[in-house]
Amino acid sequence: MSGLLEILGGLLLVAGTAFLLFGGIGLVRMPDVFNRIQAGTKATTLGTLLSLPDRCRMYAA
Amino acid sequence: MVNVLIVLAAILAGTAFLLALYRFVKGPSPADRIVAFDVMTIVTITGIVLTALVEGRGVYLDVALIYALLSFLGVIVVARYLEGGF
Repeated sequence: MSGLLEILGGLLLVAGTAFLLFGGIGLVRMPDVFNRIQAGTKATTLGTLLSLPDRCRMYAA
Repeated sequence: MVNVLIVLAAILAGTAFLLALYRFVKGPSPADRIVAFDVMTIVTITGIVLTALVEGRGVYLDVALIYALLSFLGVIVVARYLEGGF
C-alpha cells in the first residue's frame, strides 16, 4: 500500500512539473505580454497544485 | 521507480526555470520581466518543496510558504513602481 501511494505521488509530481514546463514554454513562445501573463500564471498555478499532494506521503508514511 | 520520477520532476522544473530565465533576460518590456520573475519564484517554490521531500524534513515546507508570501509581495511592489505609485 505504501509503495502504491509513493508511485501515485511521484506520478502527480511529474504531472505538476510538466505543467510548470508548459508554462515556461508558453512564456518563451507567446507573442504578447498579455498572452505571456496568461501562460505564466494559470499553467504554473496548476503545476504547483498538482505537485503539492506528493508531499502528503511524508506524513502518511 | 520513485527516485526516477523525482529526478525526472527535477529536470522538468529546472528546464522551466531556464526558459523563464531566458524570458527574464531577453524580455523587451519590464512587464515581461515581471511575469518571468513570477514564474521563476513559483518554480523555486516547487524546488524548495522537492528539497523537503528528498531530505525528509518538514521544515522546508514552512520555508516554501514564507517564500511564496514574500515573492508575491515583491511582484506587487515592482508592479506598483511601474505604475508610478508610491
